[in-house]
Amino acid sequence: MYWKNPVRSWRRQPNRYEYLNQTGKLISWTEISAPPVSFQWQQTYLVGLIKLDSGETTVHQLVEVSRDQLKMGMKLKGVLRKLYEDGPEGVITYGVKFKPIKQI
Amino acid sequence: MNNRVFVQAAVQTKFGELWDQDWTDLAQTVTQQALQQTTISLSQIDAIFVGSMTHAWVLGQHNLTGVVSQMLGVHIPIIPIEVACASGGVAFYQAVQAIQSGQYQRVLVLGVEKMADVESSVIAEALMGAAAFEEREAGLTFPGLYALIARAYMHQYGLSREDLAQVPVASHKWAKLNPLAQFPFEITPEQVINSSCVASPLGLLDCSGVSDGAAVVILSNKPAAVSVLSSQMATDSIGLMSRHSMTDLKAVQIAAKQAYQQAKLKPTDIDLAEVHDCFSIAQVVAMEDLGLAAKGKGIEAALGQKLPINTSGGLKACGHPVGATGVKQVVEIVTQLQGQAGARQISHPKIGLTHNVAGSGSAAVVSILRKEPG
Repeated sequence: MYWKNPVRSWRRQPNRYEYLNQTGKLISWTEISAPPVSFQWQQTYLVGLIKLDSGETTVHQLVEVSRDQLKMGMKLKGVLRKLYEDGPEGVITYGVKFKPIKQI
Repeated sequence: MNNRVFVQAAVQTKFGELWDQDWTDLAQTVTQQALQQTTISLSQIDAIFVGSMTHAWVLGQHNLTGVVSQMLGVHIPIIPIEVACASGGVAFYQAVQAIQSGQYQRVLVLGVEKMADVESSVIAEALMGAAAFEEREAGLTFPGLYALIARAYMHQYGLSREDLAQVPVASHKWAKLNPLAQFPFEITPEQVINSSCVASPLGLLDCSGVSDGAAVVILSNKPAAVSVLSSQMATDSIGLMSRHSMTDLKAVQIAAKQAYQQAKLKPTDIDLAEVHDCFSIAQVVAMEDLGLAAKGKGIEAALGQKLPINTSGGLKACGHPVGATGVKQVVEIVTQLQGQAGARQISHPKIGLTHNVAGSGSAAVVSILRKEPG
């Protein structure tokens, strides 16, 4: 493991929230059941491949939705959520995850 | 320029969880075995290209140049190459280039990986060093990245879970015939479908395992039974989300096209192929990217209904010590072309192809080898 340094988190601050409030549609997804070390606190979680309205494709965790509710093409929106408690930067890190726009 | 390249020796170790052997044990053993296959002595080797990926993370060892120099007692150029799971394939590509250009006459290509010493979550994190930062921050793993490809492919082309589950079944049938395979036993489609979920829709039996192992190929410009007609490399973005398509790998398409052109051959000329089936869906997509099947129709070719695929058992069942894989693929093709594959020998192959991929498609090496006439 490499040295944990919060300066990495600080350096990424200008870009970390660029997907906040952006909208797009789900083009693929998976449920991770065998996570890497940094995500073992979550046990299982959903990750989506999202085609944004801007045309860009991005990848983020999906929240406020279960795997049975996911549908290809469903509309999603970027929201602020906690990414790590004790991750690679050694600080509690916040970033963007995506949730369905329509109430499920 | 453009000297011809011949294979003088091709050897692999047993793949598996090799608790009694360290990185250098594997490298030393396989190198000595390869040298015993040829009249070329160690002192005649001009350079060594070494494919390995996780040594710094898993073993805490950098500077493989010094490690190999001390291990073999040589002072020649030793060039470590790390291109994720294509490290071995790129080492082979570089060695071929070096002989074709006239820089060297005799080159040893060594692929080694020691992965089983650490738990699976640690190796998952180490391997994710080959993915984009955004993918790591989303908590993705390589099974997760290929699961995204699998779901997009299944949605776009209607591939069923039942059909996809046939791919590892076919690999295990070949591995049962390979004494050097990590998993030399058969499995059923039901076992694949019901295996514990790793990253949906992929289960444990859709995924290549964690393996230790090594392979060596010795190349020279001196005629031998098997020649290298072409070896080509192409690259793409490190992140899956930056690609033009989620259901094909552009780097493979480019490398394959250039490899066929260099060899003056067509996909229909290939008698057998060793492809990079790190996950079941990867083998289906590979068939299409290599021109062995039409878009959306890769499943039949992946099951070997057009030509034998992965007679070694592939990454899935022979094992996937990542730095060794690209070299082992060449070893299997050479073994088949020389008619020395034992119970898994196919009938009189003349042309074989290897396909080695880094990450989720950030680099690919496609090579074509031929059994020399006479």
